[in-house]
Amino acid sequence: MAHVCRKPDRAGRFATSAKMQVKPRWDLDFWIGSLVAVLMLFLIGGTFYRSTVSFQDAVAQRRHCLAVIIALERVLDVAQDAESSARGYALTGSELYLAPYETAVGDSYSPMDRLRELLRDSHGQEAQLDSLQSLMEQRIALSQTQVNLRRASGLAAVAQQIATGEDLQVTRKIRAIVASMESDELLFLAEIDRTVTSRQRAIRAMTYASLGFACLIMVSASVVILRAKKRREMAEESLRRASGRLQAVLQQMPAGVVLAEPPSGKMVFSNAAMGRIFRHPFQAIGSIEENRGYLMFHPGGQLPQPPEDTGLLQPLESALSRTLLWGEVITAEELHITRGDGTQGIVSTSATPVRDLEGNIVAAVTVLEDITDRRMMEMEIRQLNETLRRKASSLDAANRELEAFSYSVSHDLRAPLRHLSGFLELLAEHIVGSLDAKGRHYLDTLLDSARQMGLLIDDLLAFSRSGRVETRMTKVAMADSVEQVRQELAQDLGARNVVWTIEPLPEVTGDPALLKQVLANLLGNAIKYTRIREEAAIEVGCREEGAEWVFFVRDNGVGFDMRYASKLFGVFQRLHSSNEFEGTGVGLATVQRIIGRHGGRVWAAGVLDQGATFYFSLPKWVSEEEGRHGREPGESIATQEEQPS
Amino acid sequence: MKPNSVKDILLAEDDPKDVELTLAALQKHNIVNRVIVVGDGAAALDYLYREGEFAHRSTGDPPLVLLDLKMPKLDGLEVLRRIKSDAKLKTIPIVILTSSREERDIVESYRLGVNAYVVKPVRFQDFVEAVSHLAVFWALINEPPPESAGVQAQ
Repeated sequence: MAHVCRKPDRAGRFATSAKMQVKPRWDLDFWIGSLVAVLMLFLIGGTFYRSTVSFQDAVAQRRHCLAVIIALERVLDVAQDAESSARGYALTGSELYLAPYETAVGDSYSPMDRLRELLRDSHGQEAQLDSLQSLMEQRIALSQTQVNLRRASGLAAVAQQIATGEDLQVTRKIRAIVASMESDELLFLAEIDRTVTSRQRAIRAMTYASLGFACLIMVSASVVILRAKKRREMAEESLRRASGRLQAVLQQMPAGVVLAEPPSGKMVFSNAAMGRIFRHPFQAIGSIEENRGYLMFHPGGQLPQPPEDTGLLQPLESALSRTLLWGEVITAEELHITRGDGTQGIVSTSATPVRDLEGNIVAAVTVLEDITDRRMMEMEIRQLNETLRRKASSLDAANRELEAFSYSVSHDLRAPLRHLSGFLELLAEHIVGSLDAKGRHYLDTLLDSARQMGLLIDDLLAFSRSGRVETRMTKVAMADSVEQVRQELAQDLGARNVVWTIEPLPEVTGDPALLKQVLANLLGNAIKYTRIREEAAIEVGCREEGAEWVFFVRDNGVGFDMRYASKLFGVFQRLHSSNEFEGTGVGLATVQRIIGRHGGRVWAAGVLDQGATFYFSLPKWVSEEEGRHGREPGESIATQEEQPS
Repeated sequence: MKPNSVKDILLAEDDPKDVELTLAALQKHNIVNRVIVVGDGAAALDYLYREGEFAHRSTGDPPLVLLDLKMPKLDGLEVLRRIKSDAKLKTIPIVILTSSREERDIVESYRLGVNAYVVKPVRFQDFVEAVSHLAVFWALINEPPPESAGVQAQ
């Protein structure tokens, strides 16, 4: 039984945890049942034994009683024999009558001794026994007197003696005592018979009960055995199902799986992926030796050669052999193999022993994964990274050069310009009196050109800086930024009539200074190009579009022809002459570069003489990384070119 | 006029044209101070420490030093660093007067403890205005540190 219920335990490793939980309760039930059964058996056996012993006692007592009665009868017989034979001899004088008498007298002590022996332990009978003894002795003595009288004095003397009636009296007394004792024994006998009957009844009842209980145990045992059998069958069924599922999973796996058993090394399972990985039919291997000789399990498909001098074989054994032989756990060991079709591949091998409860290795599992593609891709990625790194470093160098160039422009180009402007002024002051109108015009033109060049250099530097400075991304409340810029610009508006419409604006992630530069350029443009209107209308707003905020600045100014929209954001590209509207053509290029560095786009829509709308988008969230490095200017230009349509 | 107002302003500038323009600007506003002009950073330090060709100059610190950034031998930032790290000189007001609007120059100057940073305007009128404002503010309006805090200790 114990064995039966252990079986599911072993299988339990594959069974569900729910079944594992049922097991201890099932064990407890079994042990309690067995204990109860054994206790019951002991109880029944004990009772049986006690009843039998008491029954046997009663039978012995009964036998004893009967022996006492028989002994009493024998005593009486002796008394009567003594009396009748003595009397016969007295009457006839024939020695024939003396024979029974002699026998009676000769035996007279024997029945009495027997009686005394039987009644040795029954107290309360001694008195009667003693009187019987003395009466019996009287009886013998009387008969002896009669025989002696007859022999010596003849019939008359004996007749006289008999006539006294003493003879009769003694015998009567004996008979009375015997009858009394017999009646005692009979009473006792009746009592014993009652006991015997009750014991018999008890034993019969107990027999039936035992029979019933035995049947019960048999039935219970059958139930238990049947249940265990069913349980085992269910366990086996679920094991079969689980095994089927595992088989399916193992066969479907992209990785190769091999299972082998020690000590032979015989392969007990291999899945279809093995053949796919090795690119030739994978054959089941029958022994460690075969496994050792299997070329696919060794680097480059070369048979292992034991290193000279050392007797070490270990590093040459395949992963499966090492696990089988030494229980080694192998994790992702790389194996360069020559496949069945002659191509080279890289396989990652892992192996682990399967142990039984005692820790003995019962199987070894090897999993092989074709990582050739992954390794190739990794190598490719490494190469790409290296190329990228080189490109980045050359880009860095170019940036540094550009920075040095900008710095020198800032310093060296501005200085002569300043001198030009300064000395022209001084010259003008010096000769102002002697100049005619033409001379004055030339001087003014020179001064204006110098000033224009100064503006160009300053704007170009600002543009260059907008691409170089690091962005510091924080939360920027666009409404506040717009208001600040508007107030700064409003100071130079003079008597102009500008109607501002500023919608509620969201908070964005960006560099506050750079975004302010964007707003300053766009709002500044709006003010500039509405100069011709009596009432300028400038509108700022924002729409939410997917993962972006799209801001716009709309004005009712001179607008532009959409055919030239692509020129708007180019450096030094202008749609108006300096006579119409002053400017360097750098403002919108700067806007585009800054928005590009924020991961957004810029575009514009306009109608000639009716107004223009400039849009820029900002991602709702800009990562630190993206914000710091920004985008290549080329990228944002490309984006911008798609927009005007 | 305060007694210290007659002291000389030190102008460290290597470009003679800039020197001329600066002097012209000061002249326009009749700044009474004499202006000592040195052509490089080393000479500026010589003047302040009364060494080399200035070994025999009269005592006293200039009420203002105007420093160009790009100069031969020692550049403006280096001169600024030496002045501001010298306990005896660091109280002298220093103004950087330069063409550079580069953020790193501005940040570095303030980090070293410059008192003002002025970008030379391209337009001459603006330049004249800026230079004269500077001279008037630092040489006339501003109260310079007492002599005891300066180089006189030696």
